[in-house]
Amino acid sequence: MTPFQRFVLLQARVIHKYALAIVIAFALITIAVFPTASRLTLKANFIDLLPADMPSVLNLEKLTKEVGGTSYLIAAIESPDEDAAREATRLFAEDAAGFEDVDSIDNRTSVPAFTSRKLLFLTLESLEKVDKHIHDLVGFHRRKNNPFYIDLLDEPAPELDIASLELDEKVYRVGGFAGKEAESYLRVILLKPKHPVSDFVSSERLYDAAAASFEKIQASLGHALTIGYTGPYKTRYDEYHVIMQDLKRTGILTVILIGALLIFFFRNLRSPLLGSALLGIGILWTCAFTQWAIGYLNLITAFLLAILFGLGISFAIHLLVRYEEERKDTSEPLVALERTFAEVAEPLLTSALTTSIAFFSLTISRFYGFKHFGIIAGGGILICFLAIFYGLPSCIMLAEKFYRPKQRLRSLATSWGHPKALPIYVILIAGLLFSVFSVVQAKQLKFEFNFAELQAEGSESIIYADRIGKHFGVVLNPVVLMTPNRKHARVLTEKINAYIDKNPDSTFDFAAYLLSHVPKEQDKKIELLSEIDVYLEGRKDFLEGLEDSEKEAVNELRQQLRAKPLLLEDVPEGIRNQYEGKDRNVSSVYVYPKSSLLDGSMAKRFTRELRSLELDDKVIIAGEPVIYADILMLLDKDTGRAMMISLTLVVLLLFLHFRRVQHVAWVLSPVVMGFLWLGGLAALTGFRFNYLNVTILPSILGVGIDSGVHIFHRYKNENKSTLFEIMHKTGLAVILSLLTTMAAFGSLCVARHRGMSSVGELGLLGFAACLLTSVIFIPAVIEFLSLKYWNVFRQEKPSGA
Amino acid sequence: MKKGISYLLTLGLLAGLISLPAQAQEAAPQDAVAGFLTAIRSMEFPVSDTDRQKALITQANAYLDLEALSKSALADHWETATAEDRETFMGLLWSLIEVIAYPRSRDFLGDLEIRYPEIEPDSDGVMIHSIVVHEEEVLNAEVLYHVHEQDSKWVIDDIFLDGISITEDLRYQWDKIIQESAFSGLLDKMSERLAKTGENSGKKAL
Repeated sequence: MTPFQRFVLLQARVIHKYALAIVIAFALITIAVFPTASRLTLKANFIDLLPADMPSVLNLEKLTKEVGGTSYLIAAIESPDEDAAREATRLFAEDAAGFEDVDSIDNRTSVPAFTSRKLLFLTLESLEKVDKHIHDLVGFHRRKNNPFYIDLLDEPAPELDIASLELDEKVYRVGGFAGKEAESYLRVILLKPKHPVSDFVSSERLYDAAAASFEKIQASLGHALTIGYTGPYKTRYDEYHVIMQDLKRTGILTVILIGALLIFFFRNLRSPLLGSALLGIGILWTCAFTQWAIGYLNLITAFLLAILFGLGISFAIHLLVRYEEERKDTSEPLVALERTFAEVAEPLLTSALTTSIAFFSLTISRFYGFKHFGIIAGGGILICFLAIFYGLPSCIMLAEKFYRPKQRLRSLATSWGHPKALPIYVILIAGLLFSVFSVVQAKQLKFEFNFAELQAEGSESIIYADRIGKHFGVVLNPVVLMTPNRKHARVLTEKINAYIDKNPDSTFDFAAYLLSHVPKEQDKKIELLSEIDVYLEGRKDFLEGLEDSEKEAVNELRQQLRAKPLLLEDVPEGIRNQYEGKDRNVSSVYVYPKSSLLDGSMAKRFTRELRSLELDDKVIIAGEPVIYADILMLLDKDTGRAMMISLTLVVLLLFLHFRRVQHVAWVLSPVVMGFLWLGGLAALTGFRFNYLNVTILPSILGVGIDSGVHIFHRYKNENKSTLFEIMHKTGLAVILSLLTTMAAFGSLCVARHRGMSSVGELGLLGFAACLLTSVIFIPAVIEFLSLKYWNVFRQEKPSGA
Repeated sequence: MKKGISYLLTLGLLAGLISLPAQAQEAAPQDAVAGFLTAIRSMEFPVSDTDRQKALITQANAYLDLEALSKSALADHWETATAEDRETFMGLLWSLIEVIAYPRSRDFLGDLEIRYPEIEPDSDGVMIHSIVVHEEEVLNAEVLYHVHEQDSKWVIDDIFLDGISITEDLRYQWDKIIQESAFSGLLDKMSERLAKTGENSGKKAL
């Protein structure tokens, strides 16, 4: 007997003797750690997926400090009645300025400095078009009303092609923020909250205040009015709530599915209840460990607790299955426990260590999605192992004194018939064919780069962001270049705009700085407007003869014709702060992208292009899109590396344990084939990988190895070589473990958050592939080889001998 | 109010009828304008006395040098047109004036006062400034008539509204049609318009 086996038997005896003490100790520890565990919170912000010392994170913090960040809560007010939309916007802006959580309001549609000088924001060429249009209009009416003019053409009234009018600066589109859609008038207000995006409590208070204010406005105006929100504040808030709801729903579903599976297989309540309870305790301890080690869950680790339930339950299943089997042969619980520990302790520990190391290897990544996942999953697996290894037998020992369930473990042999009838050749051929298919399809695998595709379907904030972007022709998530002063900002803006002119394929749309908000060539424009005014002044008779709507339009135009120059001092404080901050320490250049940077591939191209501009050292690049790009760049860099390191460590550990390359190869074979088949299944189902779901690939690796270890131990120790024999005992535990894991991941498939559901889908495909390879294909291969060509394991002595 | 400009313009054309006798030829250039407007104002639509109407049309036509206006508006197209085309064109134009321009002028004339604040000689004639005086001052409109002497008579060869001559407006339109469909196209368009107007309103002018 090896020292390890002696140690294991000692553990069994200690557990049997001190079962009550262990259970009490577990209860006390659970009570002690509960307050810590309950403090664990979720940070649903992308920035929390990156290390705090990363340049993009530091830059965003600096930007937030200087100019309050680039993030706004964007409120879109709509009504079929233009006046109602205008008035509601004005009232809401007034109210919002007094909200507890609002720092400032940017309601450009109502700023008199802008509204009285709309025409100055057009290019000189466009103003000349306006001038020509007015002359054409006057000419048309003159001809139409001239009794001696014979109209042979039935000429239509000239129309001013608004679309052909160009703004001097594209940034004025952002300033436009008011316009007519097919059915309604849309007006937009930017609210700058005092709190960070991740402060959901303050956000909730802000939404409540906004809802109350808007309800009052609706009642007072009596028109059909709606309000919608978008922007990072709303997107993150919605995402947080969707994830929290999903976690509750999927958590309940996981427990139900796993409970049902366990009850079905164990045919009693005691085993599933004890297994789940001990795993629940292990997960609670893991929460406390997470709070202590990290302090929060992020967008990726938020899914982990459900996953951990699926992974951890396999320890309980292997213990329970074996214990139930041994208990059939002996009436002594201690004997059954000793035999169980002798059989499963080693594979369980090997499996826990390898899986844990596979996860811990992720901690080398700078991407917190991986790093935190590695810490929590690695630590969680060990904690769950300890909780189950000591807690579950203790509970069973105590329970045995009071209650012994009559129902026995379901047998695969009786459930599924005699597996000798299984067509081994058919399995081999089908498996090989699917493997070939998987290899061929490897290039067809797709990666979803669009972050918006991971949000909940029908997310209001995403829909509004899309609508506002299309409506105003501006993508509202710019990147900011902070420069030391306004002169620097001007030079940089000109440089980038010149670059855009020279590079039509650039991902940049335009760049703007503070003075971009002051119209150009104002002298010439004002002179032209004045000429138009004089022209119309001399045609009062003409104006009187117009249709009412035309007259109103011309009168409105005439009010704009007497515009005075717009000076920097006239630019609202909110906009000035947005560029230069309240302290005026910096001057920012906003670079707007051509298309949404929620598309990660676009964010990467955009950021790379920005960084390739050879900006001087004084320029700091900051913004959420840079964070997206860095996340994806880190993923590109770390995913393969993490997987390789994980695999290498696992192989090393397995080799240290088994000391034979052949054995390590057999242990790894289910997971290697499983990954290959996962690719085939993904291609077959059109599944898309994304930055969230790839983080569970190490989980599949860990669970796949776990299955391999248990199967191999059974082969090796019991000299069994037929599929029937393997499936009969260890196969059941492996199948049940994989099915429970699949249930845990499968429950995520119903999540509204599409990123979360994609994690579930990948888990389902991955573990299904591992299930097929570890309990059907690889055993079939071993049986085939053993029977027909080589005696794979017969010459090996059982390790327990 | 919507058609205020039309009223004003018509008033400008017809106001002279108030103060001047309906004579075909006058010695003073201003009298030619006044006589022209008087003849139009005397017309009635729909027509009840055909002979009287014909006489008034003849009287009004006598104050118009439509050929001079056409030559100026058609410019090179007049020179290149055949004699037959020119004749057809002038025939159609007179008809259109009679069935479209006169009724519109008459309908919009009313009893408004016409003042002649200025008479301005130029190189080839005289520019008669007229103001159509409306109850609301803002509706007052200035209409200018260019007259020249022809066979010892003063005849109107252009009318200016809003500083733009009708010759220019017609030139733009006719040139556009000729560019698209040649001179014959212009004749077709004129015929179509004449037919359409006839269908719509009957022979109002006659």
